[in-house]
Parts: sequence; structure tokens; C-alpha cells
Amino acid sequence: MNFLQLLFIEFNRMKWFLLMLVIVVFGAQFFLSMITPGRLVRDIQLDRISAYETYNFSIVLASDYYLFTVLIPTIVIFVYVAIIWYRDWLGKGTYMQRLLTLPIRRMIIFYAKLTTIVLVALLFIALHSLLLPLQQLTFAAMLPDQFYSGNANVITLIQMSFLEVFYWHNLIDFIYVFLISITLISLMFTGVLIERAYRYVGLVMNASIVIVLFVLYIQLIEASMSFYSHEMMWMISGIIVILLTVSLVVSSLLLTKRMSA
Amino acid sequence: MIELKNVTKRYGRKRVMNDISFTVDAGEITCLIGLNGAGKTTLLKAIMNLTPSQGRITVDGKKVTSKTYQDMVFVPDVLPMPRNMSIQECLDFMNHFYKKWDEKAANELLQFFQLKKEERLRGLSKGYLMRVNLLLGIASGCKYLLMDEPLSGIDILTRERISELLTSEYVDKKAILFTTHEIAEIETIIDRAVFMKDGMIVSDYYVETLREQEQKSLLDKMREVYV
Repeated sequence: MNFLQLLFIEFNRMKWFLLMLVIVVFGAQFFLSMITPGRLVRDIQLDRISAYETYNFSIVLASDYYLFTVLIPTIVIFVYVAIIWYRDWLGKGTYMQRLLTLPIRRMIIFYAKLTTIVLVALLFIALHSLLLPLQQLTFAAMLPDQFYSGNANVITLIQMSFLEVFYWHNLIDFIYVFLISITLISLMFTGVLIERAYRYVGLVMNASIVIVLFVLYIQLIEASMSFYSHEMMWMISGIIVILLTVSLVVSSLLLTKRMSA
Repeated sequence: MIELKNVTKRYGRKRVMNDISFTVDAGEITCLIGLNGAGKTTLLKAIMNLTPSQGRITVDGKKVTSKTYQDMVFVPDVLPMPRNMSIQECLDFMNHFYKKWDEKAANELLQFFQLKKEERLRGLSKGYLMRVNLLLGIASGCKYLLMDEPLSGIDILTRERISELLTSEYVDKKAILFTTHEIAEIETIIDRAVFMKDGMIVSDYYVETLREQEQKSLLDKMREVYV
């Protein structure tokens, strides 16, 4: 219950910001779905593209602008990973003093913030998957029938575009992506806590950790040429579990023994 | 009882708390007095485990853990709640986490401090934020109340209200440890004055003893210690 209460407060604090982001991102995507048909027709009239071919929604997904609308929330969520902690230290209220002195295990604060970030990311993916068919319908409604090749299967549209990165094909895939995301966020949280505990020295420690992780990543890429894909998957899963465990243990120690507010 | 034994804290080479040992007893109002940078706030934070320190700090004979916070609450100089919350939301928040939350005291203190539940924190002045801060601390039901500069930078009316509160039944059986610069106003309120200088406790007096035996006021003693 304590966890849910903190989770509720995290969402309550960001609700207007989240709503604004949803409106901007999905508004921009619908806007692109509306104006792309007009551009297509103009290009056909100017003989820039063939008038004898037909087009579908994948042309919108392939545009740089659409990529941009997906990159914005991705970057914002990554930045928010840091903001979700720092605003509690640096904000007007020094809310961190209250959080750290609540009669609960301090790691509950960590889990509540981690869950907030994961849920926000899942919310965007869920909303996008729901709105994608509507965006396709908007595109179809704005494009003259003779140029429209018909509605494509949403899954096919996703698989044929960069969006594939954000979606998964089966449960194993989902668990895999989910674990990687949680580990990444957890490591970033640990980085914030290291900086908060050791300040300038913490920044140096964080830079060292980033270098080690980068070397590990390069080694994995090189290893992928010598191992089968299922062997690589097990290897990466093992590394992820180790990293996540280390991140949680270190964060717990920092929160209980080294934190200042 | 809160007990500190040889508590030390360093920032680099500088010692901001130097071998501090003392106790805070139930039913007493203890005031930490000192000039800026004496280490008063750091000491409160060390007790609350809000800053790492060396030495031994116990509350009722046990080390400070998350369970200790059911009995010990911190009232910092700035209300530590998000400013988008309303007073009602703050009360609900504290009620959720503190098992001994005193709803009756909370409602009475709302009236005493002339606060409206529906008001948002961002619309309140510093004085009113301190009123909310104290309300949350006292109604938490904790027996140890640690307050950092509750009288600084606020209007005279709020100061009067807070002084009145500190002599009321709400804090009767609580142990209160607070820091202040406002010596004149607290002289009649506190039981004990602990003077700090350069991270050390330089003297520790019961105010009544000071008055009766040495015939000195707190201000006289402060001049003696610091000038």
C-alpha cells in the first residue's frame, strides 16, 4: 500500500506534463496523417512522383517527422529518469527530506519511481498501438481513393517501419525487452544516487561505470559473431540479471547509509 | 530517549560535527543554539539519518531504521511537500504513513493555525507553510519532534502562534529538539539550551537552573559563550 501511495503521488505530480506530452505527440502524428495526403497529391500533380502508383500509410511512418514524434517522448522519458529524483532534492519543497524520513523501507521510493517510468513508457506504447489504426483511417480519408492502396495490417505497418524497435512479437520478446528497460532505468537511478551520495566524486564514478558498460557492450557485439543467437540471448540475460542485482543492491546501500537531503 | 555518542561528521578536512555526545529526553523541549555554521542543522539531519555521520545514534536504545520514523519526525525549515498538493492531500499523505496519526489534533490545529484544507501549498506564504509544516509534524503522533529553525523568516503572528503551540498540550509528552536564532522569544518556552560552536557542544544548561542559580538570562549566557 505504501508503494501504491508513492506511485499515485508520482503520477499525480506529472499528470499535467504527461497529458501535455500525449497531446503534443499524438496531435503531431494525427496532423502528419492529415497533411501527408495533400503533399502526395501536390507531388503527383508536379510529376515528382508517379500518378499510376498507389500509396498507403507506411509513407507517413517512413517520414522523418513521424520518427521525430516518436523520438520526443523517448528522449523526454530518459530525461525524466533523472528529473524524477532531482526535483525532489532541488525543488522548492525539498520533498526528499520527507520521503527519506517516512516510516517505510527507502527502497520503496526507488521502486515507486522505477514503476512510474516503466508505466509511462508502456502507456505511450499502448496509446500508440490504439491510435495507429485511427491515424491510418485519417490518412485514408484525406487521400483521393485512386491513389490509396487500401488499409494495411497494423502489425505489418509496424514491422515495416522503425516502430518495430518499440513493439514485441511474443511473450519471451516482451520479457526480454522489459528486463533490459528496467535494468537500464535502474542503472540510471543508481547513477543519480551515486552522484547524490558522493557529488563530484560520484560524477567521476559514474563516468567510469559508463566506460565499463560501453566496453562490455562492444565485447558483446564482437561476441555475437562467434556465438549462436540463442547462446547470445542466454549470455545477455545473465549479464542483465547481474547488472540489475548489482544496481538494486548498490542503490539500497546508498539510500540507507549514504544519502543526504 | 535520543542518545548521541561521539558523533562526528567531516566535509573534506573540515569537521562540521566534532565528537558530539548528548541525550534528548521525553517531555523536554531542548533548543540547539549557535551561530550560522555551528552545525545545528547537520546535527538534526544526522539524527534523522539524512546525512551520513560517524559515531552512535540511538532512539530508545535502538539504531535508527525505517521503523524509528514512526516515533521520530523531522520538521525542516521549509515544508518538505510538493507544492502542487493541497493541505488536505498533505494530511491524507501523512495519515497514510503514520500509524499514530492524530486526526483530532490535525483538525484542531487547522483551526488554531487558521488554515483551509482545500488551499494549495503553492499559494501559501512562508509563514503559512511553516504552520502546515508544524501541523503535519505534531499530528503525526511521533513522540520525538526535530525542528529546524521553526521561527526563522516568518511573520510575528505566526511566531506567536508557534510559541503558543510549543507550550500547549499537543506537545506535552513529546521530546522536542529544535534549532533557532530567536533567543528572546524562546526563553520562556524551552527547558534546556545546548550551545554549539564550530561543530561542538560548548555548554548545556537547564534554563530554570540558569535563572535561579546563576541569575542569568539565555541571552546573557549566549553572549558569554560567543563573545
